[in-house]
Formats: sequence, structure tokens, C-alpha cells
Amino acid sequence: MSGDRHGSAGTWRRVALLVGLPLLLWGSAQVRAVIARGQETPTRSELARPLSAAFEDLLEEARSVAEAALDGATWDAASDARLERLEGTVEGIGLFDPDGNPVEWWRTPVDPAPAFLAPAPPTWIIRQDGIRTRLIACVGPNKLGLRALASFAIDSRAADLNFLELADPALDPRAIVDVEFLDTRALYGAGLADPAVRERDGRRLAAELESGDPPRVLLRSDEGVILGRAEIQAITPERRASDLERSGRAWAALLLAVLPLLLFRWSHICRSPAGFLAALVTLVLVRQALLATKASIRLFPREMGSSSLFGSADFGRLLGSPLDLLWTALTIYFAALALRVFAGSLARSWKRSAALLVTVGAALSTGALYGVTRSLAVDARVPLLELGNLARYDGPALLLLGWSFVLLGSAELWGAAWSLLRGGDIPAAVRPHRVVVAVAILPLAILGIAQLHSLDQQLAIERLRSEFAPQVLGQTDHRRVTLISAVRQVADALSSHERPRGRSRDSRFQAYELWLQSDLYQVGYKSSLDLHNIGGDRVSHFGFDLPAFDKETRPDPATMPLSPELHREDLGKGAQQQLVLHAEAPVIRDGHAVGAVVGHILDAPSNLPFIPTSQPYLAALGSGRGAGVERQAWSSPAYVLYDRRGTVLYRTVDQPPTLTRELEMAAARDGTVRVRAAEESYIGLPLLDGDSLHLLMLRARTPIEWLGALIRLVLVSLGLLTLLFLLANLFRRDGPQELSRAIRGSFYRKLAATLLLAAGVPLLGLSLFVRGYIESRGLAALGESAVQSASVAQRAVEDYLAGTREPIGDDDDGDGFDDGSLDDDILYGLRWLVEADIHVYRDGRLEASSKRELFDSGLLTRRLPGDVQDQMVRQGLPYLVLNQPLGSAEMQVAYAPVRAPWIQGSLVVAVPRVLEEQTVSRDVDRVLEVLLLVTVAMIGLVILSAAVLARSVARPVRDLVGATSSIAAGDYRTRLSTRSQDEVADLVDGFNTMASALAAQRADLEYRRDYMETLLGHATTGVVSTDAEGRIVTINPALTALLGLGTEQLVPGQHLTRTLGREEVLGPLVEALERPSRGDEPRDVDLPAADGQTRRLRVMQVELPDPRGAATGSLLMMDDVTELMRSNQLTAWAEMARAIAHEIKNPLTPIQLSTEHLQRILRDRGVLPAPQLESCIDTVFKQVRALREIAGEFSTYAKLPVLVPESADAVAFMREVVGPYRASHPQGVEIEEHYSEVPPVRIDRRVLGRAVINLIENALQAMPDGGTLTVSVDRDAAAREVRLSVEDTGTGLDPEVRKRLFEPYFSTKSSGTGLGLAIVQRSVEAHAGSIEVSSRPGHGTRFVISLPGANSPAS
Amino acid sequence: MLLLALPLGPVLGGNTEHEARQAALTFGSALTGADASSIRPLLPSQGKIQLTLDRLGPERGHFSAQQVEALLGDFLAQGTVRAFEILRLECEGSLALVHGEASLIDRRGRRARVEIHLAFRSDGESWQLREIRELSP
Repeated sequence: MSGDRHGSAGTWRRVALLVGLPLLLWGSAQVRAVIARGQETPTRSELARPLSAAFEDLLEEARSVAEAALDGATWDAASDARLERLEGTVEGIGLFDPDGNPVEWWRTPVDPAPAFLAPAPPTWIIRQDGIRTRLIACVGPNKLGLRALASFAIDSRAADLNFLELADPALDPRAIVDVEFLDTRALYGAGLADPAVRERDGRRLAAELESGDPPRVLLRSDEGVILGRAEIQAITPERRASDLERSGRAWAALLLAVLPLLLFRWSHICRSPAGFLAALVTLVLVRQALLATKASIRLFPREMGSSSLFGSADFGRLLGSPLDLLWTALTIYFAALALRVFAGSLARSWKRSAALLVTVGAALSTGALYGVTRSLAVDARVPLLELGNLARYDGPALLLLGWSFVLLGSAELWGAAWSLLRGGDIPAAVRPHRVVVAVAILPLAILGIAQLHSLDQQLAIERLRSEFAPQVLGQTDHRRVTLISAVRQVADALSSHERPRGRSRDSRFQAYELWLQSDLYQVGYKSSLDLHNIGGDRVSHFGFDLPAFDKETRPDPATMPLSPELHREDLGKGAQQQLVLHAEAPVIRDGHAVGAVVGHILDAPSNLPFIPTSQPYLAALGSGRGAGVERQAWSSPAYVLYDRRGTVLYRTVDQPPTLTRELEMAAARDGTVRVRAAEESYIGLPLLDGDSLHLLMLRARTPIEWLGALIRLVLVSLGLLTLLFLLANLFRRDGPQELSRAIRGSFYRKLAATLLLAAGVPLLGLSLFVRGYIESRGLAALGESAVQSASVAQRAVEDYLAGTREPIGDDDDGDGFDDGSLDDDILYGLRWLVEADIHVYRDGRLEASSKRELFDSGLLTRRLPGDVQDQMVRQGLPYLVLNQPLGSAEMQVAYAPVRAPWIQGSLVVAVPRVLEEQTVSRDVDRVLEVLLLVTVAMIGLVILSAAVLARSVARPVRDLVGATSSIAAGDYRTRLSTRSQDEVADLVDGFNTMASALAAQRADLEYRRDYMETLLGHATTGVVSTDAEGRIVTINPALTALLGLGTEQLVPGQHLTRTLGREEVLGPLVEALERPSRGDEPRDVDLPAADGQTRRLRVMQVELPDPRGAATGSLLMMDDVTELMRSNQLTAWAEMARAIAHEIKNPLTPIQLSTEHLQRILRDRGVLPAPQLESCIDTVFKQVRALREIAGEFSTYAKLPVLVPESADAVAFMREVVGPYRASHPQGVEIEEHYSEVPPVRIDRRVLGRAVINLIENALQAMPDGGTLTVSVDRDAAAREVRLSVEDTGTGLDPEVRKRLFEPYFSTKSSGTGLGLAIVQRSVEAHAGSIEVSSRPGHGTRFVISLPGANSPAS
Repeated sequence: MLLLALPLGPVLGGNTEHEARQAALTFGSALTGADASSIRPLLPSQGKIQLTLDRLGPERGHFSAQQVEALLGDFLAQGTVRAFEILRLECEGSLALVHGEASLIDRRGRRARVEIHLAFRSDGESWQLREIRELSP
């Protein structure tokens, strides 16, 4: 009852904590919200202060780099300056002469602005080159007149650069809405070079730039130059309070989710139906609380808490984000555990129902696994099968973990169901063996991953049909509508006086920025955009993979229709066909045409948005906008276009499949088909389009890749779960110790782990080495391929220059030949030959490019990297391959010098390679996949071998341990056998010999112990041994009987004297035992007996020393010596009686003879008769007689009667003895006789008759005034005795008299020897009987003689 | 040069354009009504939808229909779209490009006007959203 009350109190305390803590958290958030509402809104300048400070630090870092370059070398400047904020943003550092010509440079610095060459230049300026925002710091001149310039790529918008993170990651993004950098050259114009003008213009500009709603905060250098402006948003108290309230609710919900796990022991609670129901309700409530408060998205990073990486609006948003999936998975897992515990409890009485319940639960959880897996395949932005995503994003690990928990929950239930269905025991159902769970996990994992793989492939085919096929079949329509939309969009933007989106005021970049904002870029078409003025002159151009073909065309805006006009043109040269769609529209302002927009889209199969060659450039040009790196997350399909004869018109793969009948039939039935291309397997979707056939192909995962993905996912899932459980164990109380014990406590585990480490680590090392080697070989192959490309480009350019070398009249170098010039068109043509883009640099500056847009967009500077200039031009290196940044990615660029001695300056050709690396890395990945499989297989083999080896080594040891345990448990028959012939066999033999010896010793010991126990059990002497503390170790029954205790009252383990002390009658014994003993001398202790008598015990206490001499306890031996003492006393009495009788008898005869002689003499002499003398003589005779009688009694007492026993009827005997008294009728005495039928007794009639008569005489004497004399004979069946009793109704006896009644020479009468009753007792005892007396003063006395039956052994 | 006339006559074009406009308006009303589930009829049952969102996101990539709905739900739980207006609509065959402008308050509480480009593709019965692209100012 008390326990229940405590348990109930504990439960309520935990419930109070469960509710109270979240409420406390929520309440504190509410209080903080109330306080926040009362606070003032910080001003914009207060909010902008940290931003300004961070910006100033950034400027200082930039200056320090330039100064380091001026003081030392350009290539060491960045490291010398120890960059923090600008780390990784250095574009280039250069030293320039007073005319602005480069002297030396590192990487690709921009050219110094004219303002930097002025006498009082600004230290910092901002340049807006298309999408690039560059911070440029310039210092100098030094004594040599050189200036140092450092340029940094910073951008507040592009995905690859985030200024706010550069400046200070701690800045509050809620307060800083936007940071806009301003191109200082465009802002100040020529006045930038003059400090006075800068100051004057600065005031005017500040007023203009600060305007806005809300007003902007300017970012200036310490020279007062405006470099940017920021939009600061004040965070209102209401907003802050609202944020606090929301996050408070979310934290409270999270706490509510965690606390039940910590506070309650669900493994116990779930055993009852109510507890199980409570667990389920709690799980559902917690899950709903997390959902309702949006805890995932409010408290965790975006990739984890939002639907960004994974999420589904289905299932009530239970799978709305990676974290939501994890919460849901944990809910399923814990629900599965609760169900398992409940079922285990139910199974004790309802086994079938429990099995059914668990099976249904297992089926449901498997359904949940299916649903989760499907959602993972469908609703994830990145494929889960690609493990690279695990490292790239935060969410996939959560997804895998969640999936693993659902899998684990399902496996646990299937394990429990299996245990119950096969009739296993209940504990096995409650906690299935790990092997059972592992066996259940494997098929579920394989099925799940197979489903993931199948869905992945199915979705890919769906995407082919629903996304890519329409793009292919309606490609011209798509281009057309996109071009019209883009041209209209740009014309509208220009017509509405809108400043071009973006921040550049340089008109050169205007077309690019508009193109970037238009559908042309967003869809990803190879296209161009031209802006013309009213005169038809082109003022800005940007083309992506489409050069400005119609440079001479001058559209007339005034005559253009308002709606965009569209037509198709062939702008190719020679055999090269370049079909493009052309659209143009006027720019109308105030009802008048002020210019025109002309857009082109390449209308060719190569211009499909998903064609991979365009992807890296699109990603780089947009710097993360629109088509970004995410496009690569889903592999683009390969594409082949056939004509009716099967000729390949376009392809994105090498060795495209031949157009077969199967392909045509698949196209006709709108089906898919397996095809092979370039030794790879694809799923193809053929599409008929008039006379053409398009083939979209998606790479099919090979069995090896599938297996690799399976292994990777299983390994990662297991790794995550292991990590989680390890962490959970480590943070649990005694967890680390238990873990350590688990490993250290098993020889097998230690041995297996050692073997595994010994074999696995080198194997892993080897695998890593091979992996590194393969990767390095891949890189080397890539480098060789790059060198080849550069070589081809080099030869193509050299051939072109040689081919176009023409004699001219006068030239600068006087050799009479044209020095050779290259332009973009030439390189655009050469790139078809080289099959790669080409840039050509002359004297370190870009001269021509087939990919001009990379420079026009400001993405790349027009300078040859300093390393290339140094190593190739100055040191004469034939080739150089470098990795260079391309937006947020990197591209490999191969450089080669152009060997044309007749040309002026040094020419270097550069070939960027953006896809080759992907191709090579894909090949390398494939090899690595095989390597992974081989490694995993070998590690599996190593694990198996280690387990087998460890088992074979550990088995004898384990057998020995088991056998030793058996022997320790008392099974001495245990023997071991071994088939080996080694030391283990000797060990086993030794063990068996030892076991035999132990068995023999044990048998001997047992015999001795049994013997001792028999001795003790049968000994009449009480024996008890105690330990040093006085606790009983052994005790024999005689002792408990001796002390009058039950056997259960005195048992080993009890404290002897304390236990004895509880019995009052044993007090003297306890006192004696507590007194120190004197050596081995026995002590007599008198104890009161129940009949008022005293019992005497003789106690002997012996100390028991251990081998070292210290006392370990004592041995007590006790004997009841009462009878012995009495016997001794009686013997002494008898001896004395015999002596007295002898001494008395001897003089009596001479006295009598002498007296008779004297009487005769006196008679003879006649003195007699004389009355006086005769009276004297008579007295002498009487006394002599009396003395003779006394001596006779003494003699009788002294001599043990010699019995002549005979079988007699006790009744008849008593009738015979009582007969004379019955006949004589003593005065006033009534005689009553009660006889029962009794068995015969063996008695000496004479001796026993005298004893009975003695008793009757005593009884009559006790009734001087009369009374009743009762004589009876009856039988004590239990004792097999015959009882003869004599009872009177006389005066009775005092207790003291009764106590001493049978003592010799004790008498209450004035006459008599006091030997009567003593003789009676001796006579009775001589018959092996006993006599007892009971008496009450004033009521009479009763003597009972008990005699054994004639047939009893005692008789 | 080959002059290409826009296929399909203005009658047919007008009808499809109206349907595409209705689809865009449905999208806009889902945003302004803060009811992400309203866009479900516009989402394709197969394939992915390309998103390029900044203030509404940020999101870039290809997403399933359920994920798009969840994403918009995420945004609407923290941000608000106050108005949505169609600026231009180009319709050609089974493709419709809609340019609209939304006035919104993003997750961080910033007010902004953003241009939103929607790409719809018709499956013959309805217009389905294939791309949502936001142009940041």
C-alpha cells in the first residue's frame, strides 16, 4: 500500500514535470515577449553600425593586400596579409607602371582604373562588371613609381558570394534587407580622380542615394567615397515579441517531445492496456504538438526543418521536412516498441491474440516503411541513392536516419511476431534476439532500397515523358514563345524607364543583364540579345553560345510593329548551317520609338535546355540564379536525333545506338527500350516526330551500381544507427562502463576485434591507396586529355595564322607580312574543329574568344593568369593545365603557346574544359564503385574469417570457462574432449585430471561431512559452533532438545546468545556463556525445569582457532547432568546408608547379647525382677530393635534390590496390595479403586508391593481425620506405559517439600528415617519405571508410578 | 529567311490563353489566400516542377508536386503575399509563359515586389505548372 502511494506520488511528480517544464518555457517566452513589446525600436543607424564596422574592416584587409604586394611579391601578398573576411575572394594582384601597364601579376587582376593613375587617387573603388561586383584596392606609387592593385570578387546577391557572410556572418539578416554596391566609376565619372570633386559630388550623390523608403544607409570609405548603400529594416517590438512567442511555443513542444522519454519507464508502463494506450496517445500528441508549433522549421536549419530538400504536403505534413520525417519515424519506432512490450505482456495469457496484434503492427509498420520510402523517392530534391548528397547537404542524413528507424521498428515487430508465432518464450517476444532482428532487417532493407531504386528509375522515366519529351517534340514552339516573351519583356522593361535590373551602370553590360533577367537565360537557351538605339546602332550585345552574326544589320525601330516580330534565319557561313529564330520589338517611350530590342535563339536540336554542354556556363553566368548547380543534381538525359534513314543528326553521347527496328517499334507504341551507347546501358524513350526520331536516353543503373548503392545505404544507415545508439549509451548512466565491459568481458569479442583490426585496417589502407591511385590516374588522364586539346587548338590557331599570312606593303615589324589577327568569329569557327571553346591571349590580355560571354558578363577578367604568363611566356613551358574558378565551380583550362614567330607579341591559346572532368570522374566513380564493392566484400570476408578464427580459438577457452562454471556449480562429472593435438589438448587433459581429482576429494569430503552430521545428529550431547561474531554455524538436534527449543527456533546464522536470551528460562545459560570461559574447564549451569525442578547443564566451550591462530569462533558442548548428579548423589547416599547400617549393626549384637547377659546375671543374682531395672533393660532391647530396623532400612536403601521379575497383571497386583486395607477399613477413610484394562507388566511383586504399600501408608497418614484413598490403574497408550496411582485427599504438600520428597533422609515426620519414598523411587526405577508426584496443599497428593509394558523394550 | 507565322488561330489561341490565365490566377489566389493546397489542381501528377525562388524560397531545383505544395505552405506559414497581378502572358501550343508580379512580405518580414514567371504546359485537358521562377529586383 505504501509502495503504491510512493509510486503514485512519483508518477504525479513526473507528470507535473512533463507539463510544468514546457509551460515554464512557454511562460518565460511570453514574459520576454511582453518585455520586448515595451522596448523601443532601435534606430537604423544603430542597426547599421555593425555593418559599417564590418565594411571598414573589409576595406582595410583589401588595402593590406595591395600594400603587401607593393612591399614584396604579388604571389605572396595574399598570404602575407593574412586575410580573414576576404579569404578566398582574391581575383588577382598586380604591379603596374605609371602608365598602367602590368609589370607582374598573380592570378587575373583587372586593369587599373584611370582614377588610380591620378596624382591623388582613391584607395578603393567598386566595379560592377556584369554579375561581378569587384572591390579594388590600389596603393602607391612607391619609389619606383609602381602601383599595386588587388581585386576581390564580392557580391551581395550571387549564390557563390554573399557579402553579408563575408563581412560578418553574425550580422542579423532580418535587419539588413539588402546591400547594394555602387560602381564608383559610373557614380563619380571623371571626378573620381580629384579629391575635391569627389567631395563635392559625394554630397550631392549622398542626398540622392540615401533617398528611398526606408532611407538607405551609405557605405563609404574613410576617404569619403561612396561605395554602396544598405537597406536597413527596423525590427519592431511587435515583430520581436511575435518571434519570441512562436519560438517559445516551438521550444515548449520540443521539450514536451523529449521529456516523456527521460521521465517515464515506458518499458514498464506499456505492459498494461492502459499504459500502452497512454504511450500511443502521448506519441500522437507529441507529434501533433511538434507539427502545430512548426518546431522543425522554426528551430532548425532550413535544409533540416523545411521542405527544401525533402517534404510532402501529403499525410497531414507528417513527412513535411527531413526533421518531420525523423519525428514521424521515431513515433513509429517507439509505437512499435510499445506494441512489442504490450504484446509481450498480453502473451502471458493470450498468446494467439498477442501474435496477431504484433503481426498486424508489423504489417502496418511495413506499410509505413513503404510509404516513407516512396515519399523519399518522389519528394526529395536530391536523389537519396547518391551518397555524395550526404556530405553536401544536412538533410539526407536525417532522412536516412528516419528511414532506418522505420525499418528498425518494422524489423523489431516482425522479430517479435516470429518469436510468438513459432511458440517462443515471452521474454523473446518482448525483446527479440538481435540476430532475429538483424535477419528481419536485411530483407526489409533490400526491399526498401529496391523500391527506392525502382521508384527512382520509374520517376526518371516519368520525367523523360512529362518534362523532356515535350521539350524535344515542341522544341521550336518552345523557343518561339520563349523568344517572343523575352523580347517583349525586355522591350517593356526599357520602355518603362526601368533601370536595368542589376547594379551596373555600364551600358556594355546592359544587354547581358537584361538577357540574364529574361526567359532566354532562365530557360537556358543558346541565344543573344541586342539593344539598338533609334538610329539602329547596336549599343549593347550579349550572346550565349551565339555570336553576333548580323553585325551590319541596322533595324529600324520606327517602322517596327509593336508586337514582337518573329522569323527564322540562316546565319551560318559556308556549309555550316545556323538556323536561328529572330524576334525584334521597338522600345517605346512616351509614344515614340527610342530604340529596338533584337533577340535570337539558335533553332537547332543542340539548343535544348537540358543539353549538358550548356549547364556549367549557365550556372556560372547566373551565379546561382535560375539554372544553377541543382540542374546537375538530376542527371540530364542524353539525346540523339535520327533522320528517316537512321543517320545521326545530333547526339550528346559518343557512339550513339544505331536506329533499329526495335527503336522504331518502341516509338510507335510510345514505349521505352533498353539501348547501349558508348559501352553504357540506357533506358531509351524514342519519339517519332515526322521524318525524325528523337531518342532520349537515361543511364540505367548497372547491377554493380545498384549493389553499390544498396551497400552504401545499408552501411550508412547502420553507421548512423550505431552512432546514435553508441551516443545514447555513452550518455546513459554507467553506459560507457557497460560498453567497455561488453567488449572487454569477452575473449571472443576481443580476439575477433583484434583480428578484424589487424586485417581490416591494412585492407582499408590498401583500398584508400588504390582509390587515391585510381583518382590520380584519372586526373592524369584528364590532364593528358587537356594537353591534347590544347595541342589541337594550338595547331589549329597556328595553321590558321599560317594560312592567312599574306604579304603586305608596310607593316610594323618590317617583315612585309601581316602579323596575323584573330577575332571571335574565327575562334567560333575553329571550335568546331577542336570540339572545345578557345580563348587566345596576346601579351597577357584577351584577344579573341569563342566564348566571349564569359568575359562580357564580367565573370572572367580579360587577363591571362599570372602563373601562365610567368611559366609559359617567360620560362617557355610547352603546356600548362590549371584549375580556374568558373562562378561557384571550377573548370580545367589547358594553355599552350602559339608558335608563330612572325607575329607580334606572345600568343597563348587556352582551352576551357567543363564537361571532360565530369566524364572522367564518372569513369573513375565507376571504377571506384567496383573498388567499394570489392573492399566491402573483402571486409565482409575478413569479418567472417575473423569470426570463424576467433570462434575456433575461443571455443576451447569458452568450453573451459563453461566446464569450470559447471564444476563450480557442483557438477564434478563435467569432462572436456578435444580433437586437437596441440597445447589446448594438454590443457583439456589437465582440466579433466583436475576435475577427477576434485571429484574424488569432493566425494571424500562429502563422506566425512555426512559422517560428522550423523555423529552430531545422533549425539546426545548438544553441540553448537559459532563464528567470531557469535553467529551459529552448525547445531545439532540434541542441543535444541536439551534447551527445550524447537528446531526452527535455533538455526545457523542466528546469533546464539541473543537468540537464547529471548527465552527467560535460559537466562542463566546466557549469563554463563557471556562470561569469559576459563580454558576448557566445563561449567555447570542450573536451569529451572518445568516441574519446578532444577536441571543442570554442563557446558564446555572450546575456542576454534584458524591455522594462523586467530579465533574464528567457538564450539559449545552441553550435557544435561541432572540425572547424573542425582545418580551420583544417590550412590553417595547409598554408600553412607550402607556404612551407617554396618556401623550400627555391628555394635547392636554385642549390646543385645551383653544386655541379655546382664539380664540373666541380674536375674541369677536376684536383682531382678526389679521394675526399674527391667524397664531399663526393656528400653535397651527396644532401642536395639529400633536401631536394627533403622539399620535394616539403611541396608535396604543401600542395596539395590535384586529383582525377580515376572509378568503380572497390574490390576490384579493392585487389588492384591490394596486387599488388606479394603478389608481392614481404616477409620474414616474411604477406599476407591479404579481399574482399567491394561497390558501385563513385568514386576517383582514383593519389591513393588512394598513400594505401593509405602505409598498407601503415607496416604493414610496424610489423612488423620479421614478422607478418600483412591487407587487406580490405567494405561498411557502413547507412552506404552501402565500407570499405578495412589491418591489421597489429605493435607497435601508444600512445593518445597514436594521438591525434596524423594531425597533420602528427608522427612516431614518426627519419627522415621526419611528413606521410605527414596526406597520407593529406587524400587520403581529398578523396574525401569518412574514415579511422579502432584500435590496441592489442603487438597491432597497423588503418586503415579509409570511402568513399561511387558512387551516394551524398556521392560 | 523563313517567316514563321504563329500557329493556331486567334480563336483557339484566345481560349487556351484564357485557360492559362485562369490557371495563373488560381496560383495567385492560392498565394494571396495563404492556402497552398489550392494549387494542387495545377500541379502535375508526373515529373517535377522547376523552382527558382528567392524571396518565396530560397529554392532552386526540381521538386515533386507534393514538395512544391509543402514549400509554398512553408512560406505562407511565415510570409504573406498581399497581391498578385499578371503582367504578361505568352501562349504557344501546349506552352504558356505567364509573367506576374507579387507584392509580399517574406519570411524575414521584408516587404518586396517580385516578378514571378510561371511556365504552364497543357496536357490537353488542363494547364499544369512546370516552372515557378522569381526574378529578384
